[in-house]
Amino acid sequence: MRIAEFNLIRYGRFTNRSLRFQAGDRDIHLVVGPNEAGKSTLRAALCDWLFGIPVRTPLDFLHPMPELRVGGVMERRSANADAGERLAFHRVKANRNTLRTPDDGQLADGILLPWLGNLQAQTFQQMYALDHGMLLKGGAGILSASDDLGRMLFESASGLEDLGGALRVLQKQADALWAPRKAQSRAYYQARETFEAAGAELKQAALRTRDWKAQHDALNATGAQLAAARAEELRLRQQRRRLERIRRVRPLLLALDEARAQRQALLAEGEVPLLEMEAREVYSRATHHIALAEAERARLEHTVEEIQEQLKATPVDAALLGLRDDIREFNERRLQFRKHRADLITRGEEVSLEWVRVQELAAGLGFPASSEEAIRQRLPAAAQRARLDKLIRTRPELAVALASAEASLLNLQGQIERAQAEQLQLPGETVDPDLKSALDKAAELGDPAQRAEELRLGIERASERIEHALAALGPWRQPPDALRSMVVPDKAQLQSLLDQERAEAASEKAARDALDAKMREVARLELDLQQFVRAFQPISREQLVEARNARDQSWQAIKQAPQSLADRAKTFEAEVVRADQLADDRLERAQYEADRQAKAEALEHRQRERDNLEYQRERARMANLQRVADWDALTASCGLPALPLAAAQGWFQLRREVLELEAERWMMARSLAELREAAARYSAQLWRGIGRSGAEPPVPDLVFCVREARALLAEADQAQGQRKILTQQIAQGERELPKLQKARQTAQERWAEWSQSWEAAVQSLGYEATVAVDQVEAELLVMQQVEQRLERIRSIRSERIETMQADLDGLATTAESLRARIAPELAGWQPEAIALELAERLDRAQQAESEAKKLRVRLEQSQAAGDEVRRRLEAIRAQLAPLMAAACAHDDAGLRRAIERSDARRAVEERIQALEHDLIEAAESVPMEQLREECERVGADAAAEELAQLEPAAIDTIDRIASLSNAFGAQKGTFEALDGHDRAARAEAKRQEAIAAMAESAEQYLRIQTAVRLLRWSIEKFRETSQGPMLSRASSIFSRLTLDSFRRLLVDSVNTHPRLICVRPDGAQLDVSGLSEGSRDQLYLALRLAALELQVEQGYTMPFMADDLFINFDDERTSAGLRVLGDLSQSMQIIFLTHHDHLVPLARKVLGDALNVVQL
Amino acid sequence: MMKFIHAADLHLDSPLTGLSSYADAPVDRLRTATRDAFNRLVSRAIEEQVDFMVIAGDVYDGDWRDFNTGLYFVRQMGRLRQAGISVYLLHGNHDAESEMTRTLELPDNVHTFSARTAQTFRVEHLKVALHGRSFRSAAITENLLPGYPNPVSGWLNIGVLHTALEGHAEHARYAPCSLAELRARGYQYWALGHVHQRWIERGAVTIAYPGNLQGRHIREPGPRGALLITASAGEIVDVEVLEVDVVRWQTLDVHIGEISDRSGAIRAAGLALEQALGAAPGELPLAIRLRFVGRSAAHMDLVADEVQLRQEMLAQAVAIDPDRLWIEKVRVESSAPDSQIGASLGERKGTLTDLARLMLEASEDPSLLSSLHDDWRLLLETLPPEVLKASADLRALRQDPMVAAPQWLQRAAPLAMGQLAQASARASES
Repeated sequence: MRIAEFNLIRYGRFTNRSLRFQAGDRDIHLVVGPNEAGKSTLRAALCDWLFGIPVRTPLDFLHPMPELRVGGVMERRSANADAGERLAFHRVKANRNTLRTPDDGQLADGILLPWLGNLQAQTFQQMYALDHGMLLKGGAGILSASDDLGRMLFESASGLEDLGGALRVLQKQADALWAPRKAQSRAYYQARETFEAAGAELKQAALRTRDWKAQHDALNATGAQLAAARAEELRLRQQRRRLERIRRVRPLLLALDEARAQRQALLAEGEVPLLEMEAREVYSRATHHIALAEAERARLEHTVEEIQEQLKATPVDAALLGLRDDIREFNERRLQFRKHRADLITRGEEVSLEWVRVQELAAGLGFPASSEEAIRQRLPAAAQRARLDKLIRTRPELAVALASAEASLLNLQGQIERAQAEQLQLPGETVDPDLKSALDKAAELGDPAQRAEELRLGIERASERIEHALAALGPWRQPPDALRSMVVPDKAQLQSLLDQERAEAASEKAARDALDAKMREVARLELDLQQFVRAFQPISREQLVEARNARDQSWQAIKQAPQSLADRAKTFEAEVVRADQLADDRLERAQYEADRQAKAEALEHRQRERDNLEYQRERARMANLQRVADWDALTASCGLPALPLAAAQGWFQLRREVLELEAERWMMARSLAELREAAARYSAQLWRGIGRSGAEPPVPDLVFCVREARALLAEADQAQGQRKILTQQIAQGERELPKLQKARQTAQERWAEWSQSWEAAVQSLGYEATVAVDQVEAELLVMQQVEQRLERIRSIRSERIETMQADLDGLATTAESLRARIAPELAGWQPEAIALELAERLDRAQQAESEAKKLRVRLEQSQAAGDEVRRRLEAIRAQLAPLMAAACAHDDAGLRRAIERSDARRAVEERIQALEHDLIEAAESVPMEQLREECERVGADAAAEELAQLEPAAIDTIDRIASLSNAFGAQKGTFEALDGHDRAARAEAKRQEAIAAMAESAEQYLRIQTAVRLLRWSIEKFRETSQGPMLSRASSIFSRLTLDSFRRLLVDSVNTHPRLICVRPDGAQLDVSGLSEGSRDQLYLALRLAALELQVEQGYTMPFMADDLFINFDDERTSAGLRVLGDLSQSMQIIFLTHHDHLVPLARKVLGDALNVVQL
Repeated sequence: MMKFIHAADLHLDSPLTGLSSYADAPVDRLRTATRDAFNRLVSRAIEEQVDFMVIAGDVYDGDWRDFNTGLYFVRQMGRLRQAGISVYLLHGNHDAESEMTRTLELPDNVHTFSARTAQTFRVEHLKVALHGRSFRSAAITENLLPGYPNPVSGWLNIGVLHTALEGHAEHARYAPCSLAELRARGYQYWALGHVHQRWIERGAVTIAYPGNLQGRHIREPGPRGALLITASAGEIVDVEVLEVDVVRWQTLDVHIGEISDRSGAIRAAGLALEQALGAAPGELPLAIRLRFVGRSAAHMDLVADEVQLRQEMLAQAVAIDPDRLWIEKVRVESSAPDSQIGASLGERKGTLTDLARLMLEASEDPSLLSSLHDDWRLLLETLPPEVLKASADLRALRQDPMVAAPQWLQRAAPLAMGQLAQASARASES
């Protein structure tokens, strides 16, 4: 297959770039392009065309990813050119259907299969493309595989450099799985360890059937032994029980027999009635009660006799007791009236005293004091005295009312008069009406002096600031008027000028910087070039020509003067040698020279750029100068010569400030003048208003005038107020005057009325009409006292004295009556004494009566108690009766004996019963006969002895049971612990897992190991089959590439590992490792090209791309290489990419017209 | 109406094989799988209140020596006894071989068929007669059927038999008999054991293998369990399958025909795992053999490093559900597309193709085979017998390396080529 045409339609930096590869005798094409011209892009494009554009590609920087497209025509050569096949197709970037016809019809992917076979992009790159880097790698690979010829040949033939790597990876994988030496890191041995551990675990956890059976049997055997021991123990226990029973029962039997004999003896004495168990107790209790009751009865009889004696010695006075209430009432009255006789005397004296006092008072009044009645008649009637008394009490009130009315009237009249007088004394009311309005206006003006001062200061400050601002204007200072009339450019215009200046300065600076950088670069390149020349000393054509000229001149000189040959020969020879040397060196250092030229060209290029930059900078500078001149003209026209543009904006600002300050100062000066004029005007007005105009020619200042005017106005206001108040007071007084006059008149009338009544009343009592009120009042008081005392005397007589006398008389009557009835012997005694005596006698009689009563009660009680005791005795005896009957006894003694016998019989019976009960218990259900028999058969001593003998056997048996029971328990526990756990099953599962892991590791290991062996084997096979043809081709190519430095290649197969040997023309042999680096690269190239040739022979051709392969070769070797490629191109297409123009003439010379040169 | 359970081939404590454990594998859930499955069966029997249970042989593995397994079985029988459920137990070839069988003392609800002669157990209140004969020894190769008694007329007759029925060739031919013979015996139900795959024939006579309770390796895939039989008036009314397995084996084919790269294939496998898990009932864990099949460009990559591939598949399984997934094996059984390897060997294109072609000739080189044999022997001779038993490939290689070698070489070639391809890719990347 070859490529006839290739189109970079949209790919990398290319657009519709078409390359044609016409085939001649030879199919070799030199694609020339400087560095970065896109050689590598072309390589990638070819590969992408054939095998598809990868998903990600860096070549979409110009054309977007989906639009990338390459196309071309491939063809197959045939002997008959017309019969050759062609296929034109495009490749686009897409996910599918990337093959298109040139007019964008779809093509099946399979259409390339007949052309490319199973070739992959990667293999294509490895096998059919070769660049300098790959050549170096290949050379290194040859070195590393120098002891493995198969690998060397395979790697060279396939372009695959890492066969060794593949082998290593496989070997490493195999090694991680298994190796003869055990290691923890190897999977197989890890699994085997688990396997062994699980096996051990299984063995430990598994329970063998026979083990289980053994344990089971052992458990059963122990169980049986345990049962036997328990049976033995039971037997021993029973025997012991029998012997112990005999020991227990024997004394009981003896005692029983004895008791039964006793009962027999008792019954033999006769019938023994068995009384109740309590009989003895009942009998003794009854006897005791009877004795107690008899003693009680004797004591009671004696008491009755004593009481009857006492009763007889106690008499009772019945008559006296019959009058008991009368005597008591009589005695109580005596006690009530006990003080009457003394009282009668006291009251008589009181009456006498009152009477003496009445006589004295009556004498004072001038009444006759003969008797009480006489005095009473002289006393005036109570009604008259009451009337006088009332008049006397109303008099002071009337007198006070009269005096008060008169005083009020006088007071009011006085007030009215005083107010009228004050009113007359108030000043008049005359103030100028304009004064007030003038005052208000002056007040609005405030303090004119202070304001004037402030304004003056403001003007001063403004002047100072104007002066400062003017000073700041600097050399362009002018008076404000001139400033105001000046025409200046506006702000926007100024700003645009400034922007322009800034931009120009920046561009000039940039130009300067670029120029500096460029100059540095030029200097660096110059230095670089100098150093390069110094280091590599490339020989320029001029040097060579010069040397040859020198040589030729010498030769000409010698020719012209052959005689001088001897002298000049030496110089000439030296010149010949020098020229040849230079020619050789030049050839050898062709690459350096090429590089030098490239560097010189680059330097020149930079120098041109530098010149260009210098021109740009100069242009910028000129523009700047022009702009400055324009500005100067503008400032001069404004009258501001040489004002810099940068300062202009500030200066115009200052000018505006000066003008503003000036305006401000002028405003303040005007305000000050107006203020002063207004102050003078208001002062004059006020002065006039106060009323002082004319008298004092200089009018005082406004403040003083205002103060005076305010004081005047305040005084006038105060007088006006007082006058109003006084007028109101007078009117009020005159309204109240008639009311007070009426009140005085009423008081006078009431006084006159009282005087008349008084006179009438005193006259009716016999006083003179003119009698003093005080005298009448005093005498009325005395009369009242007289009357009161008389009344007192009467009251004492009737209410006290007479009542007491009546009581005493009644007492005497009662005394007499009682004495006559019960105590005639007391005749002549005072009634009080009689009462006392009778009361005492009554007390004594009452005491006797009470005593007798108590005695009778006690008597009755004692008699009743006696009866009770007798009844009790009978009851006790009745209780004993049944006992008597049961005992067939007729008396106490009989009864007592019967009871004793009964008790004896009962005791015997109980003993027998108890013994029988004990026997039954001790017998443990053994029949009595058997017991008697046992006891008779075994003596007491024999039983004890036998028991003692049994004891050790019993202990022994119990011990055996204990130990057997322990053993049984332990065995049972162990046995029951065999609960069917799953530990063995789990261990087995683990074991199986390990087995699976081991099997898996083993299988994998074997596969990988087999793969390693297979790979090695097949490489070796490859060597065997391709060594001969490949080496024979490579030999000739290698020889040509090294310009016959080596004659041929051969294989040294003496050793186990065959080795490649390079043979020099003189027959010397060199190992691959002994080759120089360059020769090794050439060997690799030879092998590669040989492999390609072999493939061509096998009918499989692909274009071969060589990318600047000979970059390190000199011209001669380059020629040799080109020649080899030229030969190869007779059978396959060679596309040689280079960026060295100088290769073109060389290649044309070597390959002739067959070479197709394509400029990229 | 009455119900009974028919189970067989419990193989208690028989281990699951072929599962190599790895970090995060659900080992604890699976190590006691056969016991857990039987536990579930007994619980189901108690829940369903069945009238009795028939076990048609092979309670234990014949070569399993841990008596604990027997004790465990006794305990489970005890559970059934408490629930009042009788068990009719027949010894199969494994039971006959096991030394536990003779020693174990079973509770009184378990009735074991005699090995001397066919024996009939009558369940009077249900009118059920069970006929059966245990294996006396493992190697019973005669037909036991002729010795079975005649049916009890009017009753439900159940024949219990451990047999390799005709047509089940993969199981040892113990006590063979034919379907026709069984049908002709006059019983209503044949409770068979020995074949591990469930198989039911409904008809006038119902004949059934319940299969084993729990699959133990990849050759016993799918659901496993016992049968719940309902009978009425002497007729089988219903046969219901009780699935009691606690882990299920499955071979999962991952089709990579449409996939062109390795990571795609691994993603597809992960997806297949998730789907398989989704399809499995409840929380049931799966033991899965992954098989990549199909013709795919990814094949070479997969085959190049199967060790790594297995690790990646394990990682996938752990990521999806470490409690429910256990990867048994990963097999690459896919193939490369024609274009990838020199399939059309007639054309000789490129050095790699040459190499592939050479590899195909390798098995014809006796010196290579002999040196390979020496290599292999180093490992093969150290392998314990259990490992050989577990891997048919290793066994074959050990027994006759010369016969097995071509196959091994054939399988190694893609691995070698794949490695070369990877090395080449590595080189071009650097």
